[in-house]
Amino acid sequence: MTEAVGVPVALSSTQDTDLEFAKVDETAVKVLRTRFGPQYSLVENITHDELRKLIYRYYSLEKLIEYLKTKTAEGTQCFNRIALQFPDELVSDSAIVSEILDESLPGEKQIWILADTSYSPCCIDEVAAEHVSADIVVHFGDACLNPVEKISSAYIFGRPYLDLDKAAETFRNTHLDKTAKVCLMADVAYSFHIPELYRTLKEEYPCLICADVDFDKGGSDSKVIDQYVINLKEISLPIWDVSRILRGLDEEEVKSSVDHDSYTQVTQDYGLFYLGSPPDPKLLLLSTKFGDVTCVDPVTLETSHGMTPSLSRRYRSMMIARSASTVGILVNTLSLQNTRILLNKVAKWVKDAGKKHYMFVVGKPNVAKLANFEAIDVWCVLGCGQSGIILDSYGDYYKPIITPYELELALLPEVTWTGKWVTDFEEVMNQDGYNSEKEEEVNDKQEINENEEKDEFAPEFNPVTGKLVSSRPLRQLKHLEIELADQTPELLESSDSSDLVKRFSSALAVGNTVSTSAMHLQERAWTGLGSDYKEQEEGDFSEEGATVEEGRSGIARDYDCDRKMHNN
Amino acid sequence: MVNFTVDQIRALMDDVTNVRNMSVIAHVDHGKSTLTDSLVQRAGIISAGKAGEARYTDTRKDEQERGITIKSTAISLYAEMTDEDVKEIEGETNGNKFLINLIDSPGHVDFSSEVTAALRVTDGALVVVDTVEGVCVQTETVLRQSLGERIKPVLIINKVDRAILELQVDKEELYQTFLRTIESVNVVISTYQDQVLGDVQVYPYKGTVAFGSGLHGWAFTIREFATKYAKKFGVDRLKMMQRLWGDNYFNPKSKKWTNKGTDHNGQALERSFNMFVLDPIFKLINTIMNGKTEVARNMVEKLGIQLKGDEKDLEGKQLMKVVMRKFLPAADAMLEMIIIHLPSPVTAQKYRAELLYEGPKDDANCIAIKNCDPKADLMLYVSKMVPTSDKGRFYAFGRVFAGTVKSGMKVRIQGPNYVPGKKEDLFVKAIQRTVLMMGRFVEAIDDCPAGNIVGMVGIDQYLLKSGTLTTSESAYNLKVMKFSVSPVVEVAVDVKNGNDLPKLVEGLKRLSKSDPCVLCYMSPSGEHIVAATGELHLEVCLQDLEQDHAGVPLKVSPPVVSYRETVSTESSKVALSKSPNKHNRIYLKAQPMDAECALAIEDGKIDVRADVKVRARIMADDYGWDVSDARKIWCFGPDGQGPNVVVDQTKAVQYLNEIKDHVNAGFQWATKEGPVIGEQMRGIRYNMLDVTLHADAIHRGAGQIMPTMRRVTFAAMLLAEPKIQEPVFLVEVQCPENAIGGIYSVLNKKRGQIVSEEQRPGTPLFTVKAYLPVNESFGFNGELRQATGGQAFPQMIFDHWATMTGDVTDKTSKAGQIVFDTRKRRGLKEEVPGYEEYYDRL
Repeated sequence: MTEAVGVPVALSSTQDTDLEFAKVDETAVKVLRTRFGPQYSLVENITHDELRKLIYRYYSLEKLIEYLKTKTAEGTQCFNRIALQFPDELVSDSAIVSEILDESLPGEKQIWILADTSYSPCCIDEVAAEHVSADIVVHFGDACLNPVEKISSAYIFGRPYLDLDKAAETFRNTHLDKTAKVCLMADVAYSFHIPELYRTLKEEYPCLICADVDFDKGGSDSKVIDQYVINLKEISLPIWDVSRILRGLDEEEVKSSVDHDSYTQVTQDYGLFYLGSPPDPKLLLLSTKFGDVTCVDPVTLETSHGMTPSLSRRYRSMMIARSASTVGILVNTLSLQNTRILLNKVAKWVKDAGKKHYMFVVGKPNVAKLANFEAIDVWCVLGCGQSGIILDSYGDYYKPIITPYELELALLPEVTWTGKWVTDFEEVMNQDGYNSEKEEEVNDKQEINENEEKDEFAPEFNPVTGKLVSSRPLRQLKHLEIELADQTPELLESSDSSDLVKRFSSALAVGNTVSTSAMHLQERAWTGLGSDYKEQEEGDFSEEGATVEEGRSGIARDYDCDRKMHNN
Repeated sequence: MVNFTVDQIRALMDDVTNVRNMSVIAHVDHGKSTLTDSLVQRAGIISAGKAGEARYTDTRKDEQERGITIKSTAISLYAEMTDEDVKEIEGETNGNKFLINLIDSPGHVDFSSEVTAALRVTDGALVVVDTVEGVCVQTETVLRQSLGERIKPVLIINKVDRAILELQVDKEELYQTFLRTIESVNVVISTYQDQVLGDVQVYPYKGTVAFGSGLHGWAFTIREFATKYAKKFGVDRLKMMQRLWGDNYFNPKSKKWTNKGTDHNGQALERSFNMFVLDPIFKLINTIMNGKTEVARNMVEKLGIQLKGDEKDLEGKQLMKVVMRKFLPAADAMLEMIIIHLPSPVTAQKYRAELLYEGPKDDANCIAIKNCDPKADLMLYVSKMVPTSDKGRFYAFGRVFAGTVKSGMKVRIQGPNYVPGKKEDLFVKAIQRTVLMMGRFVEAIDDCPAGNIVGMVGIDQYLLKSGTLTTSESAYNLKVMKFSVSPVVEVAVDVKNGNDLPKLVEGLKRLSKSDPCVLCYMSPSGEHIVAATGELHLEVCLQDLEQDHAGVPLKVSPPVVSYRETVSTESSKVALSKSPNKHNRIYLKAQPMDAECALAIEDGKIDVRADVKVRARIMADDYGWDVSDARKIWCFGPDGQGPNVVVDQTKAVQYLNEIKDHVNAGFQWATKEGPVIGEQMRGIRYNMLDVTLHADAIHRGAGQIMPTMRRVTFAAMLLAEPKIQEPVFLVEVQCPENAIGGIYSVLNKKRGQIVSEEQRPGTPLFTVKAYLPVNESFGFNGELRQATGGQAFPQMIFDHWATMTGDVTDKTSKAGQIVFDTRKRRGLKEEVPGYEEYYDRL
């Protein structure tokens, strides 16, 4: 072989240009606060005082302060320890906000800014708040308003600037047909512009409806500060859907809807004009509810039809879950109401289906974290429906990720697909499908138990790969035990064999249950230190032993050996 | 009136030397099923009058309607031979009773996989060739396949009646036609012949070639005539056989044999074959067909043919059929060839064992197969699933290679992915019943010893398409079949009514069981895909799915082609990707793999499951690999067996072995869905040049390495001028000269590429061969028919993957267009990602 191949080409001198270390651009990142509108962006070098004023107004701090001053019946302050939760894009304002609050609130107040809330920023982070035993969490920015287990909360959406004329113009451009059935909706922060926009456009578009924030959704313990008041006269019967209140629908239409729990049939006829950029899971939800979704960036007012995450991909993931033997339950929220109940339920479903489950909390999930658990065939994520669920649109994750609702479908004995997107915990738990059928199945099973017995280990056809798989490892437990009993005497006899591999079945059952993870580990080629030398040992003992060599030194980012080659 | 009983057959099974397992193979429409009828008739299963029309082995309704065989069908027949014939059999025999397990296979190229499955369980093949059409593309394919499995062929030239009656050829012309056909068969045989098998070319004078007409129910071998004349001339029959073929002439005046075409006066002599063999046939046929019934009657009597009752009143064609059938019964000629010249399982398994068994050649199971030992541990290969009358259940159909399979016996069921010592793809279950497959019927039997073909009830749910049954815990698998065709035409299916979904999924399962080759899977975008080898295959599969397996109305998308992703050059620079934590780095370069090598991996010539050293040797000797490189192949992908490899070219990297599993997993993931259009990669060699790993094990776990390997694989590929490969059919069209123009114009329009154009000597027919991209083949039949006035019928068979020259990012090129369309259909971002997306700077 030539020398050129012998030395890794990557490190030859011609490649030096590629070998520079990536560095963070040092020029200070200018904080963009476009949401403040022209008052902010048109003024160069804004002073601190001016900025304070803007922020004061934007976050309606006056009202917040008023609320925080609430006293209990006994006259003591309700909220002494206050936690402020900001999403990533608003963190730049946090210092000023806390400064203002600190100055304006009387008495012994303690104010914290919660860090590390980058994942699922729409939900109240109860755990972080408990670390400081806060009395209240004040949540800034876009929110899902999902009720949390115990802590009190206050929401501040902010009052972002919107060029209403331009927005109306954009609407007209995208909807040339004046009779089009369209629904106006916005991120919670922009929602206070909706009534006005609605009023402007309703005259031209008789079939227009609008969506209003459901302020009461957060439950009794939470309050939305500075609620805007809807004042629309012609508004008829409101319906609740997609965590909003839809107003302006024709009464007849609503009443004619067959299914009284969901108005999907009604809304399906409507296009959606959405102000803001909804996170993927929310976009998916909207796209299942409405006919056609147009998203408009509220700052630039550019429309994007955008790629809506496709439901047929979800169907595929559901099918994978059907033939998965190990399910990883990924808990992505610890504070949402009913999390624990649902978690237990999901675990039970999985167990009843004869599959193995493991539970995980990984903080903010990413590809690397999830790929660490190779034994998992499919992930089931418990999280907030607005942004706490991972939608793997481009197949970046090693294994598919599904929601509890989809898992429930997947565990049904018959292939079922509703095309629905259900993320609300309560709704998932109330789905009757699984439980009732399950009971029937139990009854059936007793009758045909004898027939079933034989087929218990039969593999199933996996329509995703087109192969047969056995996906119910827990049902093998009995099988394993018997085999284990059979093997024990053999093992004793053949104890002279140096081969440990035969102990398979004993290692697969850990603590009276099957460990698919152990099964997976046994499939590995590398079984631990020294296993790479096994071949040598088996073959020829005369091979010379390893000489001690000096290892590598330096820091991981910049080992000595790399540097040496780099300099060559 | 079946002239044998199941008990008789069962008794014969124990006399393995008297068993013949054979398949009937040929090009479509050359008359396999019709000839099979003659044998079935001999066994008394159908009446003589129906033979030739019943096509007994075409058991499905659509097979009868379409007039083609779709599924292979097995039937067991009982035959007796005279003592004299028995003497000629090489190898051991016991008595003169024989059991013939016959499998009639489909001839249409789309169903080649059925042929493969049939060949696996048989030891001999009856190759049928049409006198007029000669050796066609499928004749060659099936011959090649049978030789690859070490299966001995004998030849029958069929439809001789057409040559005599329709084309009115004279004797010498007919002889020349025979000669040419036999020659072209022998050319194919000698090209693909296996050394171990010895000389298996066919020679009329050795009795391995028969001539006849399946439709009329007659056929003969030289041996039959030699027997007749041997007494007359008082010479040895073997010598007579030599004289009745080739340049041998008999001078009637001098009563001398010569090998010159003229006598000493320069007068032309008639070839002995024409004189002694063809002449009586021609005379008999011509006299009867010319209406000289009286003359014919005399001749018939002279030949010692007895006509019964109303047969005497027949005239013309009907009379000719009856007379010929009695004069030269087709079944006799075929049985003679099959029993004398095809090997018994005992003979065949001696040389087939090493090819059949995945494990070492000196292992007990391999030796048992070699000896065809009925008392050893069971080794049984299930080659296909045959639907039962009970919907959704199947007979597992296969061949016992060693041991004896019994009803109620507990066996290990080893799927294709089973590895000895592991639990994957392994089930231990009891066989409920064993049955004998008799065409449309089955007969229960208690057990079945080595060397026989058998059906089994009760294990269908543990096997998808094929697998190994054994009672030995240490047994390796019998080798998985490799098909010559690939499922390259696919459609997406969906139910019309959402509630039918469970039925569709169940239907897909049954469909994939019932066909050895069809693929049912799900596309990354979540559609149910049915992939088949060609339009006809697809049509049949979908029809089965809709009407039978699923039984619900379906929506079917227009057919699309599956592509592959590959590279055209070496990566322009070393691809580097960092793990998410930035502490691990993989350096990789992609380069195109030799086309032959990629093919060899797909065909199993380079056996992914074989021992590393053995495999490396083959790769070095036959495919020009460096031995040390070949030994350092870490993994194949996708699915651990595809035609892409990772070669470890690193030097002294710490902890390298530790990440091998993760690299492998990442590589499988990457090669399964490539970056260009989300299709499988093909023919790419990745050289891993360097790896840097974090010193702490926790920081170089699966989560860090696996996604990184995928990224770096993508980056290396995108740096190496990625291309897409499209499947290409080999099209063979037979047509008269005036239709050639039409064929060319259609081919040109469809990006076709002419390979050859030949006239078949002695006929006005031309054979045009061309390559046609599968993508363009949809509707090709129709257009061709239109352009040629219905005179041309194409046969299309998957031939190779062709790399499309166009740049994948250039939408104006054909390749770019396909990439664009596919990405759109799959819901990917419209632009092909740049390498930068997966590449990291140090």
